[in-house]
Amino acid sequence: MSYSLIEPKIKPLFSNFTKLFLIPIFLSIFSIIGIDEYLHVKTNLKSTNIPNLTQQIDIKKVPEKKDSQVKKPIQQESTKKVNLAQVEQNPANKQLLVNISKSNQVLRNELKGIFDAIPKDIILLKAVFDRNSLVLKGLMPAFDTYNSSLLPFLKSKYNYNKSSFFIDQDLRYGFDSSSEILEEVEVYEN
Amino acid sequence: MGAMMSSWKQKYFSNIFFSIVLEDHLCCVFGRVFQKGKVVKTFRRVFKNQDKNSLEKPIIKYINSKSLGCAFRYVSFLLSSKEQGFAKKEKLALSDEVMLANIDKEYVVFTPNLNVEQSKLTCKKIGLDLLYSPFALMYDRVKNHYENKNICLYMYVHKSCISVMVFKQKELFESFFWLTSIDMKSTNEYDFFYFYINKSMDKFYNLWSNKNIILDEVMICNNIFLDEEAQEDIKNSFAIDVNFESVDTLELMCDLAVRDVFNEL
Repeated sequence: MSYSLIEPKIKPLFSNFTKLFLIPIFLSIFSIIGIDEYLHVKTNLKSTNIPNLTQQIDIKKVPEKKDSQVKKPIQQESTKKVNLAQVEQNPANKQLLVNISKSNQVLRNELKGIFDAIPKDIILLKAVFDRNSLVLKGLMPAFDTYNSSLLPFLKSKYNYNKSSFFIDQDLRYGFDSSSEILEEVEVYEN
Repeated sequence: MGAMMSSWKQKYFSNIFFSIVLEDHLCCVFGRVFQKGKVVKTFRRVFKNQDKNSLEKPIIKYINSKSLGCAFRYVSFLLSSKEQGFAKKEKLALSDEVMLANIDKEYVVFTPNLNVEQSKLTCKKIGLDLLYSPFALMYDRVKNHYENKNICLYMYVHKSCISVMVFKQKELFESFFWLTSIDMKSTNEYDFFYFYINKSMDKFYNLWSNKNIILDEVMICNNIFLDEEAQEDIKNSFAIDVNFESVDTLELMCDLAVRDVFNEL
């Protein structure tokens, strides 16, 4: 029931003119929020990607040590620890993390075995460790220390050994040894 | 007329209701601002308006300036054309060319579509929302006298038009509509009222002459200012009871508009 002969028009809360102003205002607000959110996500992705990438490089290096020489194993280990902590935060990398820590443990044990075998009176100047080779350079108190205490250990692990001796500027005995595991290859001569 | 679309939420915004009456080269504008269901502001102004079929610039400017800051505006307009009527719903043959307002379960107000379109054109620049017939306004008053057991002739008097209904309680006997003549407008109030009360009674008796029905009372809803002395003079001129009730059409239209928009009937 109505007393009026016509029905009132439906009134929009915002007139078309107001909408004309409101639309760009809302659009700009949304785009600002959108850009802000995009930047947040991007920076977050970057910070998680950096340890990922370094980790990937490390993983690649572990099984492919034949070609490249790994320098300063101790320092590398410490950087790995830092990286692992960061990677741990990313649940996607958990499985990867387990694999890495396993291979790291193997590597650590091997290194430990080598350093344990080096007598305390030998001063190491250089140590290059690879999966199939070991290069050591150091100073020793007596001429035959190397031959008596280090060489038997190296011989037990590696089947090829080449060593040379020198006397440095301070007139100390030094040795330079490179050991390697060589696969036996049959050579046929014509 | 279907249910009005206004939601309760709309009440929490400021709503402005205008009622406009055009008569005798004058335009009376009344406005009310509602907020949270309460009247916040009221204003009224009379403008000169030479053209009957359109609102002049100052009126539009006034209405637009008053509606600034209001979220919703409703404009109601008084239909003062001759072709309109009030009847029982059952007795009316429906037609596409006639616009109806169901003001009650039983009664309807009707006018040709052409009049509605003309009113819309008149208020084109501000937009017309509600169109009231004087019959609708009158019926709102008559409802209050349903308990009156006399046969009563109700008149809703405007300077430019007079609507008449004869009721006995809830039963309608007759209804008709006068457009006042220029001669009568220029006479004094006493003559004006005397002439039209007489004219209405005569018409009723002519129409109902064979039924032997006698009027007991005349009730005048008066939109024209009339002092008590003039009222007494008129009362003394007739053999039957004549009662006056002053009505403000503009305010009444505004009240009805609020009820119609917020569906509070």
